[in-house]
Amino acid sequence: MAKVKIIVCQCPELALDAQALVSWLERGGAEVQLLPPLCTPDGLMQLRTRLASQTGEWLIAACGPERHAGLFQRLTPVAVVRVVDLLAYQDLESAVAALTLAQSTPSQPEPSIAPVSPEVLIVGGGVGGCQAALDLARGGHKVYLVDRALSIGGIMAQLDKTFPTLDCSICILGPKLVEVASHPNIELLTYVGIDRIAGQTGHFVVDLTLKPRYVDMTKCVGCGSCTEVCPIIVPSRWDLDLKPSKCIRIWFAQAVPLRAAIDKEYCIDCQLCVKACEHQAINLAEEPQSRQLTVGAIILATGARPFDPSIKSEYGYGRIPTVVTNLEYERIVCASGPTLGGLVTPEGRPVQRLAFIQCVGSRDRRFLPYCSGYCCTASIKEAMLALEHQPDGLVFINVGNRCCIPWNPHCPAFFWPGPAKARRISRPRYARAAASRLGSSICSMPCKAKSVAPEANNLSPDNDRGRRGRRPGRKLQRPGRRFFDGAAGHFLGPQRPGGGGHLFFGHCGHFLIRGYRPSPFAARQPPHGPVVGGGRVARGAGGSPFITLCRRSDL
Amino acid sequence: MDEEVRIGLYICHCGLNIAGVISPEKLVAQTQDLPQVVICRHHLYTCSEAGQREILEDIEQHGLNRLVIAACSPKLHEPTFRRLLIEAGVNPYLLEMVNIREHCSWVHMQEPEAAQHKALELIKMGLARVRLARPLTERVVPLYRQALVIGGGPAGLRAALDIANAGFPVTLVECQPVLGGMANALHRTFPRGQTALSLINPMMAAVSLHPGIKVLTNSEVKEVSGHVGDFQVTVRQSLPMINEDCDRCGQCLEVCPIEVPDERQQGLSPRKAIYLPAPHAFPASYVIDQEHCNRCGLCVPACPRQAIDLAAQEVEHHLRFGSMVLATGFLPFDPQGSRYESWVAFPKVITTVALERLLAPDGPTAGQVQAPGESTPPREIAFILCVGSREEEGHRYCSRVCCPTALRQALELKSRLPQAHVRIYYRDMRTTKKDWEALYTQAREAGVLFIRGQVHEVRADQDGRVIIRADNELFQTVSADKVDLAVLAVGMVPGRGAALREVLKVPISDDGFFLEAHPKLRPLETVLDGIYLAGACQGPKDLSESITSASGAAAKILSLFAYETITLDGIVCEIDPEKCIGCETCFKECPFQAIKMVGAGKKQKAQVIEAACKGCGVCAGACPAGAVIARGFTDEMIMAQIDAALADHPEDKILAFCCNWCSYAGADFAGVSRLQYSPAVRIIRYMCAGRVHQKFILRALAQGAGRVLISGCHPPGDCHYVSGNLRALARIEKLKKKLVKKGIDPQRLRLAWVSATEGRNFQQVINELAAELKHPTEDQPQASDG
Repeated sequence: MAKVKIIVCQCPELALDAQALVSWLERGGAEVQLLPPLCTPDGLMQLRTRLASQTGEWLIAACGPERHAGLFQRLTPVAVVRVVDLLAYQDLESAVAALTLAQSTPSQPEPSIAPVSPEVLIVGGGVGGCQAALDLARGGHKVYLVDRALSIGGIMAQLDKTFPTLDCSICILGPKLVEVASHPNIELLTYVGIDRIAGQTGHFVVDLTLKPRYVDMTKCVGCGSCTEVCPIIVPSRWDLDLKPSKCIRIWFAQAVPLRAAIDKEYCIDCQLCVKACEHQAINLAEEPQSRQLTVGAIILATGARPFDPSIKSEYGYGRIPTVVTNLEYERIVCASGPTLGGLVTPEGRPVQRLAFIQCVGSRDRRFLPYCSGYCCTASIKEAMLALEHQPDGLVFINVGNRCCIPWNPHCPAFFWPGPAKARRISRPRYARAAASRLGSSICSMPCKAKSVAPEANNLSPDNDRGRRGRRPGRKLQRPGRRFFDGAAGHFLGPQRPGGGGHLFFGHCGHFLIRGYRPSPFAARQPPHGPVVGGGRVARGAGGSPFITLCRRSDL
Repeated sequence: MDEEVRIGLYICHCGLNIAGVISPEKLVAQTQDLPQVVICRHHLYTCSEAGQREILEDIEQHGLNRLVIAACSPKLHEPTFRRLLIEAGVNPYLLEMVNIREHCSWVHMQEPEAAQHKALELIKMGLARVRLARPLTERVVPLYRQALVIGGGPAGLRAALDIANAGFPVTLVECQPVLGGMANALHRTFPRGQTALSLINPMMAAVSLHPGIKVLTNSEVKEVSGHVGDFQVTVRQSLPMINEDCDRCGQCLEVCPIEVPDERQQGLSPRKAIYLPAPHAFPASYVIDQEHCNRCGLCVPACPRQAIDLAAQEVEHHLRFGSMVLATGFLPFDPQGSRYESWVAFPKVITTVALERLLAPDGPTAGQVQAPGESTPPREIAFILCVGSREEEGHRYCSRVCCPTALRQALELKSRLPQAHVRIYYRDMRTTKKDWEALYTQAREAGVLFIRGQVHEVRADQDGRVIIRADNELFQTVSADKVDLAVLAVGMVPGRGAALREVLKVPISDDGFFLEAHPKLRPLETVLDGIYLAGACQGPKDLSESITSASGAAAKILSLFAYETITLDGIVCEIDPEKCIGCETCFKECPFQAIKMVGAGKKQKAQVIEAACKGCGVCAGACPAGAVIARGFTDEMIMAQIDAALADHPEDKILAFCCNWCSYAGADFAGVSRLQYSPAVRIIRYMCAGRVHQKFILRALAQGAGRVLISGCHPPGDCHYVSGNLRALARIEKLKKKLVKKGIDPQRLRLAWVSATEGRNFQQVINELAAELKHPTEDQPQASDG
């Protein structure tokens, strides 16, 4: 066997001393050359000359394939060049060991060409997953779109309006969902669990469990007559428990697929729905089914879920009924929500004064060390919705001590409708203070009406992901915060994790793709009234305390 | 068409978006007995699966052959319901979207009664139009599966690689002599501090080696015509004066007598007129700065390889592409010429981009951090954030990258100069992405001082240091600190690509960046099919977002290129040979040379070349004989809409003709922005202002319309059909003179240009016209925007 020659790339990113590495390898008897960074014109020219002048096998110690973009393979037949990812090694010893090992292993044979399955699996049917499915399906790929919920749509389906255009969320999402369901290249699998993923890029085998809905999808027409007769009333989980629902129900009015399902946990087997269904679609004895898919690539679009603020007990979420999360607030103001769009407290009283508390969970070392990037703009939007519902109401936005919203004396024009301005109560009012405590004493405030305080709660990675990340064959790196992370090279492949063949969409990789792209929105307002340091007392424009969060007497 | 017309009318609540102002139930009661309306229903969300299924069932049960959906803008859901009709086996062009949301409920929120009445009339107009609708067939044309990428920065490189790796040829056009864009000026990137070189250079090298990618540097796109699937593009390239024999020996440098500031080093060091634009960038050869070169010719004999030829040459490439990606990037905000000009007058006040060069080993100081003109490292360093971002006037947006850039640079300075004090003056610390917040935490731990407050003044001290006066918001005091180096964290402003607007007809937003088709749902697409956006030309983006959007745009193109043909819509023109008098008016007016004259002498007739026709209807607007049938927007349909709109109290109405691309979209934008205006307006949509025939205006005036508004894209360049707006302008001018002769007040006719982002302008025009109607006796000033 001819001696393997080693070329070391003098990458500026190298954590170790390249010169020392070369001398170490030379002492071991290898033929080593240190070249300037191989991706620069100088390095590339020298590499080309070396490869052209000397035959034999080459080992290039440079960066991993996601970074060098197939550069070296373009220069020469793949068989004679092997690349070792030097950036993966922090110390000299392990780098030398890796290179020595690569030297002594026989050269790879010509890569075998394996067939690639053209099908794609998309995990998660939120707006990111749906858009990916549609784009691929339009390009002629067969797509399996799986979602663990009864309907696709994800969090976006639960929103009332989206910023910055105040488009009705379900109106712009709904048609996409319908198109996904009716596209001949997309097979939609809802209420599905993923058990196992095996294989590699080009050929993954995926085991699914189709959870029983107890309703035959092919027979059900979504007429809702079963729901009418069902005697069991349960909270609607889709409406975040703000609204009653039946034990057999359609997930929500615009659900796709528009089919009923039974929540077996509460079902009493009364058989009333079985009798009521004209289509004999109900089968109370349905069993889970398994299914196996073979796909060439997988897109993870499992999204995010809001942070649960009940852990921050000082805000009283779960204890004080008028403290709600911003997602709950979206349901309350939504026309198809529990109050049919009426801005009322969960107890049914109209809301005159409303406060938003920002950064709940976010930028907090105890909970989420990152900024969620969407809450500020979402809260401004929600404040605007409140003013649309209650033009003479008062809305306060309480922002953290270095948070995004305030300061800008004007906001993009489209948020401020003229007539509302004419009525004197045009804008939400901003106050900079850390909300330290929220007491139920909101009721004892000088104002007559009750307040609802939605908390801009933040996104944290979806539960499901922890499990999925540990599947065999995946090399997903999970940083401390448990969002999926791109492989090395945050920039080179933000959509490409280590496993190969995976792409990220939506929240699971980043916050900003499609669904929740934070808009370049800058709102600034000179502070109304005093803002006292330390977040002790915050006052609104009229000089009246608008939130009792910090006053000892109220606690 | 002999078939009986059977219309299904569906009125959408759109949650409370429509139903909050207008009562759909009442509309149903008012419209269900109108002629030919077979079925009339209302639905909470017509576009939902349940709503669509109801329509499908009705079509089957009641044999509907026309559909009217009174809901949102056709720009949003016309495709949705067209698909539905195809599914039901009905021709998709037998559909009319009545826009009672953007054009009614959202803009007349305070006048529900007037809105209700307007919605009814809009529906009647829609019914009048749909009764005359004819089935149209779509055209299938071949697709040139080659892509053009404009811009060779990180986004352009990524998009080109993704498309070329899938096997489709790509041409990459870059206006600079080298690839790499702004990334060439960067030293390290946030949040992980990797060198820009190690991230961008491999892509640059791969692009220049890729057999499927043709790179044209020093080139600009001069002309674009055609449509998705077949764009004809003219690229002008100035050929380099140094050919590829150059081996970068540098001997020419020594003889060149001209010295100018080096833009790559932010002017911190000089360069010659013959120079290496970026040592590690591709293509790797010396270039001559044509602007500064005095043609002394000293370098020509100095070159040992005879690679230099001082004759400047330009070539034009005529190319054809199926699709294109705009990746023209951004420029850093330049404090010169802004209100910060006096700040940067001191050499010790630099921008973050210049600091990036000072930190770089190949920078002007070879990596030594020193304020310009100093030989010792600075002891006191201050960063000032939000320079050129979030301004009250000017750049109102947040550039988003300045906070993490300043944090990363502050951290690097702290580690390289541990004795230095670093302070950051900020307004809000917007570390809005996953890893960015950690930078802030690290910076605090490293001892960087954060001061929240507005900086009022930056001036020089007597001893040459810089004094920064700022509010300290926390302590409610005003501070004045002396520093050795002040760094302005400058924002991002649109790059040179904005000039392409005229060439491509892609709209740009108020802030100068290219406008995406929808900020949420179509962030990578422009309103023009087949033209996609990547990177910071669409708005401030960091590297990872730029790369993400580039891959996304490439994926969009790849799904387009999966087929060999593309289907274009059926809206084209046709000429009735019976009526044609062979006058050649349409032949002369057509902006696309899509009309040919056949026959000779008296038998000469015009004929439309369908593949070239874009359906603008400029010919139909000009034809004196009414021989042109503008499919989808025929004379009869528009006349019927005029009659329906003016059936009741015409004198109180404003009849607005709005072109599909700009004015109608502008009215939609007014709706989205909830800009309230007078409910007197009734909008008729057509493809181009050039479609308006004077007989439409005369008919409307004869019916007694209070005001008639013709609206289109801003002249000269905005028109999506080259010159339709100019044709309209000429016709209106002519008609106004005619009106005077006929004794009709020409003030009743107005021409206004409204672009897709000018909702406010639309509101203003309508309110002005409404005011004129209310006070007709007052002498209104003549409209000046015609």
